Amino acid sequence: MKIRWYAIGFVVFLIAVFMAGMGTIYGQTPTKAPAGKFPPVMKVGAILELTGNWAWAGKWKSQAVHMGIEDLNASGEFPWKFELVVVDHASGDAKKAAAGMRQLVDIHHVPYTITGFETVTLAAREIGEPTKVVIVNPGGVAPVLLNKPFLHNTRPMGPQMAVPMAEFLIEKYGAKKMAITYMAEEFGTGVRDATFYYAPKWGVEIVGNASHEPYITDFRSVLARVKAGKPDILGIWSIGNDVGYIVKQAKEMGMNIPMGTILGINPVMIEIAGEKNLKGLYDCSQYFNPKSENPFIQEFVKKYTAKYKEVPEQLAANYYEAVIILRESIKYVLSKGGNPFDGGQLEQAIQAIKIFPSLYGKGQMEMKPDGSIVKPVGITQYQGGTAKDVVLIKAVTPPPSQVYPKYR
Amino acid sequence: MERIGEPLVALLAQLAVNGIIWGALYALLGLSWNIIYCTTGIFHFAHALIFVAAGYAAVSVTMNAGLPLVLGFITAIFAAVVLGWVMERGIYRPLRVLGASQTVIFAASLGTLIFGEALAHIIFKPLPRRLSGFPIETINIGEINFTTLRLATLVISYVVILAVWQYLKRTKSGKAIRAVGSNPEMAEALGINRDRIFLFVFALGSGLGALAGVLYTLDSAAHPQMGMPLIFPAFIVTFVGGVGSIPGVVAAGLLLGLAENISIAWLDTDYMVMISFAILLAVIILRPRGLFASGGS
Repeated sequence: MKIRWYAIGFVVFLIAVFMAGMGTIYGQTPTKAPAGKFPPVMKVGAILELTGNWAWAGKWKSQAVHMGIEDLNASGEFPWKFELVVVDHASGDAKKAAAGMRQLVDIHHVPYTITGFETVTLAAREIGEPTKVVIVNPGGVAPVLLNKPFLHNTRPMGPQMAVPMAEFLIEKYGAKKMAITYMAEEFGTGVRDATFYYAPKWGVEIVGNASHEPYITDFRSVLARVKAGKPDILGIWSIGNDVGYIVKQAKEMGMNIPMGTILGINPVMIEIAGEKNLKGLYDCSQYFNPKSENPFIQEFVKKYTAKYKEVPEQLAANYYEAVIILRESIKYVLSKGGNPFDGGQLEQAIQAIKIFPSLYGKGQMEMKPDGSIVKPVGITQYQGGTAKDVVLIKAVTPPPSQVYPKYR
Repeated sequence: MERIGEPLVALLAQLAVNGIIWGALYALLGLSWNIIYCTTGIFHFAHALIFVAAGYAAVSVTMNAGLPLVLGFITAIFAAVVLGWVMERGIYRPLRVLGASQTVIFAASLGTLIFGEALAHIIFKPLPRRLSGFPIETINIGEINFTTLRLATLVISYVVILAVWQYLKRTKSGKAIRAVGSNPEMAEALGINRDRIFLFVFALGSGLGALAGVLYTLDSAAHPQMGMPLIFPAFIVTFVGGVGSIPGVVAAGLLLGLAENISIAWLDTDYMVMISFAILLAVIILRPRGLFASGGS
């Protein structure tokens, strides 16, 4: 067979491209800048839910992160510009998240990435850790996210909110029998485990517990199962849309017992359940107070409202904080004469700084060595109106991240 | 998994009622798709868009414009019929004329669905939209309860299915539809206009789908991804019951609804999808033509 010279040349070309690609993937080194000189642009990654069932939440997160980056650029603090690169994980697709993270690392060379959802965050971290990219997660709350190098969670974990919620309901209503529904994912099983661990200490019997797949719309049979135990209170360890459907259908089924959830009351729940059904629902989560007198919080609220024509809520606040953490870490690295384009140095900065400005409570949050956060949470109750009209019943200090001895 | 103690009987009865109601809706969904597939042979995946279009049409008319729910229903059915026509006339017929294979037609259908869902996402945004206007009260019979809406869903679904069944069985046009479904070439030779029949069944199937879509939206909410969770039961019910068999669709819907819901007494909802497809696989293997297979409707 006659071998054409151009065929050989093409094969050599392919091999060269392949080798270059391999070098890019595996041989990446952080951008090194000569002393005192930095690249003109630092790219920052964000892996968010821009499509799919949770795109409504992704919109708030995206708005906050964009605003944060714009604020960084406007401040002129640093001798380079920031550019935000957002990739879509389509509401929890871990494969898309991994592909997106790959793109952020290989093409955009980001030293810092903001994520959400535990599956997405874990997928991104698998790529982030070996390539020394800091991952900040202001969204996911599953205990499995703890104790992971290069991963920092800026939201209390699910059990840290569920425990105070359950304790509040038990004490207020003198409950002896409790039922729970929970998402059949790491977040939900973590909260379930915490509930079962604490139940004997609380003196309550768990008379019904049922998991559910996320994104279903009919919970009647699940609720029938927990209702069979005739509980005094119901813990809804689910998220967003699911909570709306559960509350609505529970009320339709005559379950007029006190109910509590975690992670916040949001417009989607109100839309799905209707104000009348949702009225009285308790929630324990980060309590973002847009009417806070703290000037730092006021400034954030004013800017966000002016820019997006809506008052920010906790997700927006969380994601803006992720940019604050970046800013403080960069300042720290620069003060030590280091290279903030190196994710490893940003990681060391976070571990050294520990206390960061916050949009919650008294304006500070503490990042713990296990990747958890110390932040205040509040027990609120929805009494009608919009999601921002929830009434704060009680501020609580959440338990430490290890609320029960063993994580799944 | 937690085994349930007493009162198990009351729980099972409640789950059975839930299953029967879902069974009725599954049957209506199945019929809406079955009639198109049986007559045209097209695996009309994009039928899922009908549910989305109907849901949002009803929401737009009732919630946005503040008009009565009845107008919402009518608009939804009209919108779905138009969409069904457009898909047949604009996508499937040209492909048939070109001699496209079933695989190509299926790919076109899938592409249409993906395009349509993305468009719905852009136009209507990802936030679910509630549809109200139906008086919802809870009916209690002993330990069992259900809402007036769920009862209406059951009744409407079965009444409509019965009406369509009788239409196909007793009327001239109904028989023409069955003839085209059985043997299109022979039907054409006898003077039946196949293209016109195809258009009509797309309209009929889309209208039925719209009805199911609005009933579903009333119970939950409209959102851009609502089509997919509804189209899969439609497929399963069609193939389990038997292509072209309306009693089969009713029986299969009931079987699916009961199996999914009663299983929750012992299993978590993770297993529901497995159960649905296990039923499908079992029927395909043991009785490939379906439980009530027939040559026509």
